[in-house]
Amino acid sequence: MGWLSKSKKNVDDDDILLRRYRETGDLAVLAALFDAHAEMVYYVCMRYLQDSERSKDAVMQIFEELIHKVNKQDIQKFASWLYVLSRNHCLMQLRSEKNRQQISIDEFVEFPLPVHPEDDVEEKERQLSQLERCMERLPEKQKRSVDLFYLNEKCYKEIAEITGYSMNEVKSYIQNGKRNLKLCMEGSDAKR
Amino acid sequence: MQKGKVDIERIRRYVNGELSPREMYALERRAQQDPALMDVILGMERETQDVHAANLVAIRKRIAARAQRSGLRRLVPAQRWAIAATVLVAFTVGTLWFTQWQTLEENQPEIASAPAGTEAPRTEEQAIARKSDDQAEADDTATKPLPPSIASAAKKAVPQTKRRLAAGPTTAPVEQPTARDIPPTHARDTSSPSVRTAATLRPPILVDTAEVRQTAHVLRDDTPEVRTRGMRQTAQTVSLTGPDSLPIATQPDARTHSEVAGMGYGNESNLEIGDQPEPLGGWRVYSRYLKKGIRQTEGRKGAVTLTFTIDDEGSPIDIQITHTTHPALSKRAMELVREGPKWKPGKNGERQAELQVKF
Repeated sequence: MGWLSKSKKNVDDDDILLRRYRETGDLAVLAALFDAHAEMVYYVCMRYLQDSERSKDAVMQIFEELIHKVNKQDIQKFASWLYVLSRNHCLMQLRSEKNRQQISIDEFVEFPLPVHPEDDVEEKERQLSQLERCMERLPEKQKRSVDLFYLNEKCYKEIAEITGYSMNEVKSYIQNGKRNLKLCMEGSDAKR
Repeated sequence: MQKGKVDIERIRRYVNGELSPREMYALERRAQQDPALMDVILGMERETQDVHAANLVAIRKRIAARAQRSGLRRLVPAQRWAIAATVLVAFTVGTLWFTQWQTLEENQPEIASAPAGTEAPRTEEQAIARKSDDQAEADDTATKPLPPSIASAAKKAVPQTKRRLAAGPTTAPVEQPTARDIPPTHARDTSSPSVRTAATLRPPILVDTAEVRQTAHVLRDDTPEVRTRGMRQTAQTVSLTGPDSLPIATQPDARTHSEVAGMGYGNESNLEIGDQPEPLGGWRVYSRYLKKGIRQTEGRKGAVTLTFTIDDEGSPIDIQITHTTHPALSKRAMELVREGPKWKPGKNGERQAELQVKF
């Protein structure tokens, strides 16, 4: 499975296949291109739909969507584009469900962290102290997890061992702590 | 790692616990910045690797099957054309039937006067050639070879020529055949196609096909150009080179020649198309609206002609049925018009409109 390697060749392959598909319209070419990313698409579906049967179907639906959209959009990086297409497909599917008990979209992580202007030292200092204040306000478990992850650079497993929380707890504390920090920072920015 | 390109093998090792804490942290930290990476990690953690492997095999098979099916899918454009052609044929036949049905009582022949037009000048020429011959014989020749499907215009033309010949055989060669001028409205009454030529016979001549025809056969052996014009057809100009008859396929005029035909120019007057009230948003939109409404009225086929007046707000009022094939359809047609888009009066303030809704 050479496509899994990190080499630049893969990106080139994507471009070559994409161009060839656009020239020939041969679906076999597009299928080869999609096949190279099918695993990624599948895991993304698994992550959102949380069911392997549904994910299998979703992968094929995304392939159909790809056939429909591939010639209509300007695709710079196929892998990134396909990821966004896949995620949106899954989110749409979740949203269209009447029964949304399975998973709430709110649980999903927000990306990326806002980029702060770093040219001004004073501003940076102010933000750091603000961040510390916000950290203090976090619930204890979130604070501890975020602290261990971001400041002490511990992996989830280590954090779980240190704190005694389960792996899933660690993950959600980090996500929620991160989100709360972001809200806290934005709130203080707005007040300023 | 390329951004957006997820290193799945590494994630698999991560999920399997094969990475060192430093490597795990590196991946986790990167996942915080890269939603794709995060999603793949979380997705992979949902199930065991065995399940994933089996699913991926199934997915690859499906993709391959889907790609193979594309070989068949290439037929689709051809199929589309076939469908389009079928629809067009059905539509044409339907419209033809519809217009024929409209003028059924007038019982007009299917084909325009081509053979008649052909015969008339020839017979005349023969007659001229034999002007010294027995006049009765010339008359016989003139009437005999006409096929049964001649339109009345040509029928009339022949005796006229004969009369002319009878009156002055010496001047006959100067005369040109079949110079009849029938105004379109008049033509509707007799429902016969009329051939209009200038007395001097300068091309192009106008052939008014009074009713919708798919083809109009016209023959002139000395006229380079024939122009046809029908009430619901676009004008066509065709060059004539030989003396044989030339079928001219006229294009149906999209504006009036639709399944839902606007008929402001019905029997009341020969209003130009711009004079009659028009739906706000245009005929295309309106006929789409009607078609949608008709689709909901399933089953029964037929047609309803109704007249109505446009009030100051553009709403159709005083809707009256002038012809219908079934009362249920009348009711539906009235509903459709009443609840449908508003109208705007014709260019010269015409507020009366006539509309046919075909189910």
